[in-house]
Amino acid sequence: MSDHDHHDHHHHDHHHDHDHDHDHSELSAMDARVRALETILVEKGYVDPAALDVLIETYETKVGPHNGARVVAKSWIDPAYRARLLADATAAVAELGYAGRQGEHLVAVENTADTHNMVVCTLCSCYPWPVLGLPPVWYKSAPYRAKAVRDPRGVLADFGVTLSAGKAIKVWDSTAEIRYLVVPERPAGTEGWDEARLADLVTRDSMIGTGLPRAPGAAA
Amino acid sequence: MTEPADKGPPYRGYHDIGGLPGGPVACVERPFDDWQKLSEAIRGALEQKNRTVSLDEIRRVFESFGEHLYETLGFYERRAEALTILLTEKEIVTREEVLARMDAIAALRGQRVDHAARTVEAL
Repeated sequence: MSDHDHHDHHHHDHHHDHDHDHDHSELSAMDARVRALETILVEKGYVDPAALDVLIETYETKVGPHNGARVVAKSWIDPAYRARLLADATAAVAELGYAGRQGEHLVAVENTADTHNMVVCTLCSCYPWPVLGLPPVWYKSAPYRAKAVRDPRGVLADFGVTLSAGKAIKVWDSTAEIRYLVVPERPAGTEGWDEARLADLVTRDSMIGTGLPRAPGAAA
Repeated sequence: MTEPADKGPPYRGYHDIGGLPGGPVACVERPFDDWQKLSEAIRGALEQKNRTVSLDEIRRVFESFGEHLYETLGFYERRAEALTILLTEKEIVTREEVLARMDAIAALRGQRVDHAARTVEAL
């Protein structure tokens, strides 16, 4: 099954009443459903509109892979921080100000010369929101959830990544409680780089384990 | 590599697909629609407010509302439908109330909503 979020747009009656304002795009049934729930729940006092605004702003700007990239870059240049990250990732990312829902029990797993790590949530979509944001479509798709634990090398091939045959792959299945952050290997040729410059090499996929960091010199 | 267990209850729920044959993974990126973000925000706000609704409860609903609906709906559609069912169970809203409000919201824009779109009650 592929992700069907986009199928929503095929199911409307095309009712056009030109006496009305048509500045808006067509309202999907799910769009209408969610707006209906919003207004009813606000009226009944279950939901505060200001709280919704804060949450949406959080999803759009506060959480995201830029946070995780800073964590990883710091772990590359600060061995003491790296040790704290691997010992207690929740506390270590909180040092940089990253905390919140879907990240209360975070575990950092490090890639090494011998081992590559990959993260999946086979049952649903669990993902470390504070450091990576909302999960991408493919992460929630049935093919990824099914295949990651069965054929991780095949998944990497789907992403255009090939690892040496001798490298072990560990797959971590997330739960509602425990979320994982992959700490990729620092690319060669970055000696002396500062944290911000290194962070630009850290891709979202490299922190899920379906990708590798950018090579120095590659366009960001 | 071991063969996956037989699919189907009582051994494996329809959401429990780890290790089943799958792929290739479509590595596409798609921005979130506003309604998807709003849906997540409503869920989060209800959780913040005395845990009116928990994510575990939402999962319980969409992991038990039937494989056909689960497979038919997209990720955020599943969650929105599960949230509606849960709020109805908790007697916070009625489905009739939600449908009427959907009609009212669409009417303000000179549109209509197709209520035959996939929900538990439409099946």
